[in-house]
Amino acid sequence: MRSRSRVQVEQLGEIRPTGRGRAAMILAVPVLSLLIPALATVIASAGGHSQLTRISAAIARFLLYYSGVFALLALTAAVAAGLLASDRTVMSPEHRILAQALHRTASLIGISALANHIMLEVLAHRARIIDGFVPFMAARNTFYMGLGTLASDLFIVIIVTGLLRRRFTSRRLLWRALHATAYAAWPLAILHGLLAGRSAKPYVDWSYGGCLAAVGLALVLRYAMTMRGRNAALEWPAPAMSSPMPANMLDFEAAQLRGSALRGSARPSLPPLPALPPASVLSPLPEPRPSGENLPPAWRTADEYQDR
Amino acid sequence: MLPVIRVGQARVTAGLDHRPRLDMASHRAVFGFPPALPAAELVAICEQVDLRGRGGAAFPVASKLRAVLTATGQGKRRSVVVVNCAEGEPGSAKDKMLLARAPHLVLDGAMVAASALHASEIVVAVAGDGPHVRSVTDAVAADGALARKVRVVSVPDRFVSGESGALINAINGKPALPPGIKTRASDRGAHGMPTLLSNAETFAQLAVLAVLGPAGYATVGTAHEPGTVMLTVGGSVSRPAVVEAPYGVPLGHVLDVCGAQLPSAVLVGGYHGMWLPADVAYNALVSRAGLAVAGGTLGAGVVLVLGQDTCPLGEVTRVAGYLAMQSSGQCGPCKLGLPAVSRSLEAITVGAGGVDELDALRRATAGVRGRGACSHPDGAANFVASALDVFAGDLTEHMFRGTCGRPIRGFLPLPADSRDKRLRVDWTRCRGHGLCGRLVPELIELDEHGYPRVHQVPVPFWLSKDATQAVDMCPALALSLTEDKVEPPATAAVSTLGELPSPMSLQGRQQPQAVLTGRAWRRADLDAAEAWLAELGGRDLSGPR
Repeated sequence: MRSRSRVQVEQLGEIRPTGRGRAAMILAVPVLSLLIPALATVIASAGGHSQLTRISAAIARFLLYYSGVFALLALTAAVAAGLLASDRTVMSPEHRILAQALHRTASLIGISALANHIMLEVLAHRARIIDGFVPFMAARNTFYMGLGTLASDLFIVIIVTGLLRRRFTSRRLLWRALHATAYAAWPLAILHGLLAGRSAKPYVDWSYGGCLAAVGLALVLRYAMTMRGRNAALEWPAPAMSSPMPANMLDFEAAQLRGSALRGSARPSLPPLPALPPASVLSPLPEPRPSGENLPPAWRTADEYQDR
Repeated sequence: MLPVIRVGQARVTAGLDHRPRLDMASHRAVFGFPPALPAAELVAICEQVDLRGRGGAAFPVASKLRAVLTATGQGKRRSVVVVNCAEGEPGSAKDKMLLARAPHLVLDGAMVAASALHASEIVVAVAGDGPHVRSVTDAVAADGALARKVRVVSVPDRFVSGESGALINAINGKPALPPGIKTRASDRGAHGMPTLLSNAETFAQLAVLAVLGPAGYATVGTAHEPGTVMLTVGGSVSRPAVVEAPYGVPLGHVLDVCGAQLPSAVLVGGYHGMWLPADVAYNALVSRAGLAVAGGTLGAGVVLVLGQDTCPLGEVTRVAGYLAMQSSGQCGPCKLGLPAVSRSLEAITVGAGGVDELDALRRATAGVRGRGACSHPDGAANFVASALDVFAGDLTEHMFRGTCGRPIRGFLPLPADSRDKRLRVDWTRCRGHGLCGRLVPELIELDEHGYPRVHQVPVPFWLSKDATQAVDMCPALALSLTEDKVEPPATAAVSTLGELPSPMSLQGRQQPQAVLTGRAWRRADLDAAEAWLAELGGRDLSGPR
């Protein structure tokens, strides 16, 4: 360890920045959601009659049946929360932060359930691997299966670019355009959900119809508010004075009047300003400096500090 | 290499006139072998000359030795000696200088203490990289007895790394942050063993004391504070240097020797220290008592001179921002309070703050005192509060005129890292959504229109997550976290034992500040403003006290 000629310097006390390992935590959700059903399917298809096999088969069956529904529900929540997070009229900044957090969480769950759904469909031989990524290639039910694939591709692009959002600060419009395709992908996903698989119960149809209508309305409102907000920004009111101090001392008398008026309204108990002390009481002030850059270096002498 | 200047007799700097670095042979030629002292005798001579720790706290070395002896049963159990050279103070270079140029003197002192305490190990803790690290590792390797006993460790180069609890944490394999529950190093320190921890200069002085004996040691200095002290003098001086001076020398003499140029004020005790008006500083005596009488503190011997051609408030603001970001982010009052202090100062400096801002500043400064695991918030509060006192005139001018008209030249040294990241706003895109102000209030404050006022400081490690989240959540994609593109200023040189920034070297780097031109200001305006301020603030800023 320690050689004769050279003494090792040990590096100790390293301090890690906060927020490390966040990417790993985010990745863990889709990875686990793929691993668990894959494992369950493999165990179930291995056969046998053990408890484990039966539980695995039940999990695989349940997820095959419902992971698509979960994906659609989560992505619906993501679209709604995203829309909510962009609102400035009803939502306070704190609530918008919460809505954004919900938007991200729902998207993460949605994309995980989506990956899960595609994998289980492939494992169940109801679709080929290529159908998971290239639309309109399916052997049967080509159109509605294709809609699902198209929506899934769009969602993958949206979520990956969403994770890389901070890299898009210089290409903001591109990012916005990509992210806005969610409003196209989501109805496609609903159509796929309602028409590609088993037939849905009427209340499911009605709920999705209601969701579509609500999001459509919210979208129109968002557009309207944005336009109004832009117009409002043009006629922004003059800022209120944050302190009774005049910004420009040259207008001192006027500012003094204004200041005392302000103070009069805010704190009526305060007496008016006292008369200024005679100049002789004040410490000598330095001579006014000439404007420009070549100021004398010693414009303020040490003597001034003597009486402090 | 930072030059060394000596005032009076040579003690720890003996021999440095002839050699840039005293190797083993030249060190022995100058100092000989220190005598092996038994513990009782070592405690006695430390007590006779009242040797104090030179890291800033000035704790009596004799008491530390006694505490370790008690904890080890008079040396029956094992103990550790830690030489603290993690000089986190940007303006201090004396410990680095000692390790770089007289490493054997420091190691001799550590060996004297270790043999008296029967310590099993000596840990030399350095920060960063540079000639002082190479010098001390070479010095350790040059001696078989040392190489068996001494471990050299490097801790992160941060302001609080040198705090004894943080250093002990680092040696024990934890992050170098001050612990929440205080344990005395002399009871449980490195590896849980009783530990004698003091700074590099203390051990150098201990070696000198062992060689000279208490009578010889006390031939210089004052009656109560015998011996010499190491100062690091920087700022607006033509000869920045590490100075060895006997206790009791007038600070004015030291300033003259270093070529101080028309100071407006002098900072003593470093960035946890206090400002002295120039005339007070020139008449103060360099000793703990002398500087305390003047209203300052000796601290770790940092003396920084502020010339009249720089904006003092701007300089103080730069340092306050640095101190805020050097918080470890562990204790709430410190991690929220110091940024608030720094933001208020910044607002006043750029002319955006009035009396309400000064009120907020005073409240924030008072509010952090005594409310942290270490003394960082207290030290930073001292620094800012004394600046508000000494620069009261400039403060008035900034509040009423927006500026004092002088540029911020950056005379006060600050380390800079090109990997530091700062938050930036694209103003053409920002729509004042205000999410960032909620997500990272330490760095972003919203103005009365709801637009962010971003604190221009490097984002510290404990805010990196919040800052990233603010960037991610900005609805307008207007916020970004970018690396500093600026070249490291000359002020970074202290960490590598280069020269402190001299006024000359900084001439080209001055940051122009908005200067109000056009109409000349009238003296009557300022008179009236000062009187009004005094009335509102309840303080008389204009008349004699």
